[in-house]
Amino acid sequence: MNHQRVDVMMRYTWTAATGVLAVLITISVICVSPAAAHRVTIFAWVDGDTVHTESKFSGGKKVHNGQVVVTDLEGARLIEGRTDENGAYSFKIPKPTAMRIELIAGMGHRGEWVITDEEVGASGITAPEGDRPPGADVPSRGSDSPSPASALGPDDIERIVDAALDRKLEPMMRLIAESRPSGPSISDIIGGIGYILGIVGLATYVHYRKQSRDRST
Amino acid sequence: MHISEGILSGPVLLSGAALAVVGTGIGLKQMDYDRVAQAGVLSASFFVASLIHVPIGPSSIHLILNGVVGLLLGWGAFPAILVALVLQAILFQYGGITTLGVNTVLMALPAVLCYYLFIPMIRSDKKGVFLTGAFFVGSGAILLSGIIVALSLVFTGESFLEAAALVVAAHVPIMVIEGVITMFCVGFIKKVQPGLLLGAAR
Repeated sequence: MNHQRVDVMMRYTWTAATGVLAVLITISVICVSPAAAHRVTIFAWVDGDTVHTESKFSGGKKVHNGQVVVTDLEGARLIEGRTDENGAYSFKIPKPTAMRIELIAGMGHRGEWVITDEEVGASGITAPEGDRPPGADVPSRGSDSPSPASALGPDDIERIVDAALDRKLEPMMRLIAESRPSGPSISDIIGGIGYILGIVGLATYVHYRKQSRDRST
Repeated sequence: MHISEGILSGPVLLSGAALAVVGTGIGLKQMDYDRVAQAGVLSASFFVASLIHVPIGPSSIHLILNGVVGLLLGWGAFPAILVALVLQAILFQYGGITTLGVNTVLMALPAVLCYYLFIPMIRSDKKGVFLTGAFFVGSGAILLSGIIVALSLVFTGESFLEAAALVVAAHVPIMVIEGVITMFCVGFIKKVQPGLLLGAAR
């Protein structure tokens, strides 16, 4: 009789426990979009001679006053600063090289973004205006050239196209920065719970297998 | 309270991993078959709890629930939390694979400590005493976790007191919330099945 009572109580507890878990899952699913923490990401893009970065926690909360450290790929420190209220930090490209941008948001949070050589090259910083011989394109402009294309060297055209592209692409880069996934998806959550149930199932299997083997010997 | 990859130094990561292995070993050894399902449910609860975000306080914080896990599982909190953290690292990119050991220790060790510290209070028959104990389990586990986070950050150059103050201050709301959640849990379990609170750490 006592056994039966324990059984009933066990069932009651399990129903309750499952209920609590269900509530937790529901809340977490509801909270997924504006919620969650403990992962921090930084996104960076090149615009002309400037690099813009944007940092946020998983869940979309912007990182205020997070430390941003920029190094080259060998680890030499180039520049560092802090994010503002909107999680943004921009800096002039200090050196035309690939860069690793590291975000340290305190309490063990860290994110990273790498800007490649190509991106920096595309920004035109590899050929800054000041380095060009000043007389190089003056004569062609002065002469009444019938075809403007011949007056511009391939470098100039590349520079102009790059600048125009940067200008056109900037809103898109912002959009990408905004729409980075900001938290785990529902399939991640359900999947994780599924794994845990699977492990419990595996333990059950091993247990009963052992039991039946004990019985047969 | 997950520590990301690339922050801690090798020795800290290794000692964290070693402690996690020892704790998980003890936990698995103590866990008899009857507790496996319970550990699974608690592991799943811990897994989803970190998605519940609390929009108060200066930083971005979420529920942890390690106190409840520890209270019901004792040393079994280690394997339960380890499993949940592996899945959080893989699926949510919270924490990381190399920091798995450290993260397990910083959430499971306080759970076990609080279990041993407060279980006498929890087993009391007086309502005031066991509810107070429950509150301490829930909030104490978070407090201790914060202190371990600060301890592990010391080796990266952050000053201990500063880091500890920052982490603990950020988690004060969570400490209160989890204290209350644990009170409800214990109150409920006391009513329906007090036996659950007796046999966790045999």
